[in-house]
Amino acid sequence: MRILLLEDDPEQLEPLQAALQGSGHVVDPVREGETAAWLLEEKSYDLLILDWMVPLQSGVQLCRQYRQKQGAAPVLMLTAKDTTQDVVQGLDAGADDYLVKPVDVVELLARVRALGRRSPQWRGDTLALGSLQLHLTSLRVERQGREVQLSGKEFQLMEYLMRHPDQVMGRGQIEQSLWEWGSEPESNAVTALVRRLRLRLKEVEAQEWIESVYGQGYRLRIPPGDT
Amino acid sequence: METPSQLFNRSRRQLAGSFTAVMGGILVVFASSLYTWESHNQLRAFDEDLQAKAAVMVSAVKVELRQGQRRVVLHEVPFLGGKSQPISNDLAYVRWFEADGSLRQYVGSRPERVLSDSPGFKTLGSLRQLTIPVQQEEQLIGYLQMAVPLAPLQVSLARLRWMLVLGVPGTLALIAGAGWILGGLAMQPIRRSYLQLQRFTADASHELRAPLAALMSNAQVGILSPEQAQHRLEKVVNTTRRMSLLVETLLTLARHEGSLDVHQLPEVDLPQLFQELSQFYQPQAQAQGLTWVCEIPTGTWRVRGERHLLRQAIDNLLRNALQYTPAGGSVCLSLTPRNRWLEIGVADTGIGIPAEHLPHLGERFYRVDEARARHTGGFGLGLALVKQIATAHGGSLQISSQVGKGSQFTLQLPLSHSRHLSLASWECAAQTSVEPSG
Repeated sequence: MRILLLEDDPEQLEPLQAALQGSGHVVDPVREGETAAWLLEEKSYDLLILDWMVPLQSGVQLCRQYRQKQGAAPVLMLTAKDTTQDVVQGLDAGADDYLVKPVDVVELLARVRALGRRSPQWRGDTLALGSLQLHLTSLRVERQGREVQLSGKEFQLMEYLMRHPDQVMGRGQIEQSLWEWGSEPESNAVTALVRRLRLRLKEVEAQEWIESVYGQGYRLRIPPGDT
Repeated sequence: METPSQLFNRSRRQLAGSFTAVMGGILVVFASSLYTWESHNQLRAFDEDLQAKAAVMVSAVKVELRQGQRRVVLHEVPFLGGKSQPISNDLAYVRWFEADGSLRQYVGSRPERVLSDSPGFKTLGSLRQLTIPVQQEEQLIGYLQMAVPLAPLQVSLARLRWMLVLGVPGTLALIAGAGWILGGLAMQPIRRSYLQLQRFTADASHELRAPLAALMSNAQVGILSPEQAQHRLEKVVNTTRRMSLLVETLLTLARHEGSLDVHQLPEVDLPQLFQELSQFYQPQAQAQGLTWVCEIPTGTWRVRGERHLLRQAIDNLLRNALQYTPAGGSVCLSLTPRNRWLEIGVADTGIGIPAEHLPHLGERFYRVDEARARHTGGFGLGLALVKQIATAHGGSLQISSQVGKGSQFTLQLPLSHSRHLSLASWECAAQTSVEPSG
């Protein structure tokens, strides 16, 4: 999932970002409300994680504004405010879920999964293409009884390709979808990532599923002999 | 739950209410004593008047010796003597009883035949009656009894009564109003410190929760992905260090909440302390491209106090000055004796502080620029600590600042007693000024 993470304290932001990335999500970390508002206009997200108290524009304000503009992605509110009144105010602003700090990372990840399941795009915890299965929660690829564990980034690429089967995905497209806003991947980052993913897929004898299309990009498709 | 404004209104009402009750009680006691005293006074004046009249009459009573017998002659007595003399309208009746108590003569209403009242004043309905035994040559010759209407006295007392009955509740209403206004005035500093305390609690819990949240997340991420453990542990260490600094500062603030018993403390030689600070901060200032100026007067200048606390206060001021002064500027640490005070000045040519922030600067967790303070790791406690240290030493902290021009922090401390007797020896300041190198 592509997640917007708004948290003003870098000390809290960084580990949450790492945890979410480790679970295979693409995270855009933002430290203040105005940038977050701007990103929400520019990009589309599968989930918003907003801290309530941030400079310039509060998480609640941002959430209300996002809902007014018909934003549909689920919103998870993070905050140090823990009275019932605050929870009600947060939920009424359009948040779907509420977590009080200090956040339990394991719980946060579970709630993110739960909110992901609620999204209209969700079709189960497993994506399947031919004999290949991708387990979204455990980041594993399974084929003919064999399994291989993917890293966060590899999983993101695999998921991206599996959601767009038989389509040629350009390097620029992949880069935009998989890399965080503001980060500058090296020029051969996509190539290197594809190489790593192919190495993993070799363990389930599926390395030839990802085709290179010269001058255009990559395509995932079921090879003719797949049973 | 009661909101703070409800709480304050309730306290204000209670304050005004009890004020009114107490003042009302005092007022009622005062009014009733006034009334008692006044009625007593008026009655006495009235009685004196009556007695004077009686004395005139008594002086007109004559005793004649006729056929060897003493006989009381009354016909020269005013009113009583003249047969056709009408009774004066301020005299109800006049009577003469013989020495044995039998009625002899009277004017006005008809009395009993025998004297039934003992001598003295007596109030009979709306009349004031005086009975006096009349003696001549130490022999009782009879009793004069007279009465006057009490009406003028009653009218005057009734007027006073009305004045009090109307005046007391009216005054009470004014007192209640004044109580409400005074209650409001009394509530203001309480409300201010309550709101300040509330903000402090909210800020403190936010500041303490933030590093806790970071600790928890880092630890959990480290457990979830062991390959990151090293990196996460480093973060945990850093956050813990930052948090213990915060807790330490908060504890220092709490520990020195009251004022120190300055007379029990040792004397601190400020020029010496300045040398130490100068040695520490001068290289830092130079490295930042700042001009470092340290002005110390010759001689020994001492204040009584905790050396490490004073050092911490000046440390905080200097650190602020260095932090908010861009390269090319200057930071000046100065010591100026002024009457019974020593003024420690920290002046910079930095970015300055907008005027609206100045009154709040000594408040805990107050940050002029939230984002910037976060960035530089400030908690907004530094100046609160300086202010508290100054207060604990019987001194004060003054701040003046102009945006874009710089700030001047002045820590005023009472000069140690032994020193200020020989104040005359104050000489010109020795000035050291160091330009930034490179």
